[in-house]
Order: sequence, then structure tokens, then C-alpha cells
Amino acid sequence: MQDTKINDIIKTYIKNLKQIDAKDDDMILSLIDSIEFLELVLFLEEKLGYEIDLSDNDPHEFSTIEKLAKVLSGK
Amino acid sequence: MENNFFDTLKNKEYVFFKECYKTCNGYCCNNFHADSFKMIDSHNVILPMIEAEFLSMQKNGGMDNVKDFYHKTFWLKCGVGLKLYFLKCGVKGLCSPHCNRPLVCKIYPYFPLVDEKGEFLGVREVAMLDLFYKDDKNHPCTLVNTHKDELLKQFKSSTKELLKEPVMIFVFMALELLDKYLMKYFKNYFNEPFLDVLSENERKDFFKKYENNALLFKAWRNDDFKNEINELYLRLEVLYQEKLSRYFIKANDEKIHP
Repeated sequence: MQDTKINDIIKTYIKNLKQIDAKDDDMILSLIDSIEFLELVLFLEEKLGYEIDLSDNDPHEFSTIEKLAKVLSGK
Repeated sequence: MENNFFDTLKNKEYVFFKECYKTCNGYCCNNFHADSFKMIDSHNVILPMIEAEFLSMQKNGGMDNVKDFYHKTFWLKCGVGLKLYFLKCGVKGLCSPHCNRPLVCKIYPYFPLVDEKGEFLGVREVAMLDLFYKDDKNHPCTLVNTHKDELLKQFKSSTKELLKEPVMIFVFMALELLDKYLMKYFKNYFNEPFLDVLSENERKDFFKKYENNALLFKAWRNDDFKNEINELYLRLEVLYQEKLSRYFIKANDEKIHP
């Protein structure tokens, strides 16, 4: 899936959860807590149809909405 | 919640070493490895508790300066859920009133290892990052690196009441399982995943993987762990029945406990 599409999914998820219009460069954990981040990942796995494995990624590489979308589009 | 076990714990203490925080810069109340993390909140320590403890704390007035929390219900395969609250604490030991602090703080640095009947079997580090020291002498907590023998004697005696309570037996046995799978996960990457053994570069990689796991729960998102914790609950439920199950949520009760 394209990163722009994943980007939209993440923003919509956050909008529904927190009623916030998130921006590409927002730090995800400034918008949601770490448990909500886990829920977001589970939601994305359902949408993408595979288990997300970021264990070899530096957390810095998926810290913002834009970065997370890019990392996932390359998986 | 009526007859909440946690209501009986107010003012109870389990570790008795006067002003030990003066010897370690308050290690237990600080996120000493904060600089090693890139995403997770470095200013707070996260204090987990089951819903019954949270409700009891609220009933007792809680803590004046530690009020920020989030929660999540974790579902077992058999269809029951355990609602956990995560209190964010950044007051570095100055919580007030101190007697209302969470159980995880009161029993630090250990939790008791128990069998299904609540028999004391030993101890294990209660803070997950503390598991990753090979030699107690290198552990940052003074109670561990200097006073362990005395502490164990205290702990065996002071936690006796806790070990009579079925939900605490479940919690402590579940913690042991969480630790087992966390260690197994790290052993995929490091022969000896210990902070006092790893090289500088390996430590960087360790913290990267630790942070990833804190966000993605990879160590526990597998069938082996899910089956083991489910079987643990079922075994204990046979033994303790309603005394245990009353602390859990049935799938169709979620709306009652939002």
C-alpha cells in the first residue's frame, strides 16, 4: 500500500480517537499514548493484512505519522 | 467493588529500609535510561495495576500529584479480560500521600515468585528493565546490590498476606510469564542480554529493541505466550473459582466497566 494511503489511515484513526487533525510531522506519541499506539498498529495490521514487524527499525524511523507511513509502505 | 482485596492494603508496607533513596539518587522513581529512548515518554515512570487496585486507590483519595493514567483491557483466549491501568508518574519519589502509592512501588525491587497455592518460591525483579542485569552487584538499586539477603527475609515475611489472595497469585504468576517471554525475545538477538555485559554498541541496539517491544509487545504477541497465560488463568480458576474470576471481565460485561 502507498505511504500516502497509510498516512491517511493513521490520520483518520487519530481523528476518530482523539478528535485531532494530525499533521505529517506530528510525533505520534505526542498525540496518543503508548497503549493507543499498540492499538493503532493492530488496526493497521488489519488494514494491511499482515503482521507489522518493526523490531529491526530504530524507533526514530517511525516516530512521526509520515515516517511510520513510509516505513510501512516499504514493508 | 465490594470486598475489594486492595482496600485491605492501605498503609501496608513490604520493604523496610530507611531512606534508601539517598544512596541511589532515587533510582526506582526515575527513568534512568530515559536518554536511551527515542519515542517513549522519558519523563515518567509507568506504574501498572489491575482495576481493583485502581478503584481502591480512587476510594482512598489516590495521590494528590499523580493523576494521569490510561487503561486497556487484555483479553485471554477463554474470553475473560483483565483491565489494567497505567499510571504516569513523574514526581520522582515525592508522591503524596506516600502511603497511597501503588503496590508495584511498595514491593519494589521485587515481586514474589509463587506456585498456584501461593507458596513463596523466591523473587524476581518487578521493573522489567531491572531483569537485564547479570550480576546483582551491578544493579543500580542499593537494596539489590548491597542488602539482598536481608531484603529477601523481609520480603518473604511481609508478602505472606498478598500470597493468600487468588488474584495476586495470578498477577505474580502472570508477571513471571511476561518476564520469561521477554527474556526469550531478547535471547533471539543477544547471547547474554544484560546491560552490565553488553558493549556500548550492543547496548544501543538493546535499547532500540526494548523500546520497540514496549510499543509493539512483540515478546508477548505469540501463541505460546497467549496459550500459557490462558492456561494459567484456567488452572487458577478451577482452584479459586469466584474468588479469582470476580476480578476479571467477561466478554459481554465490557459495557458495564467502560
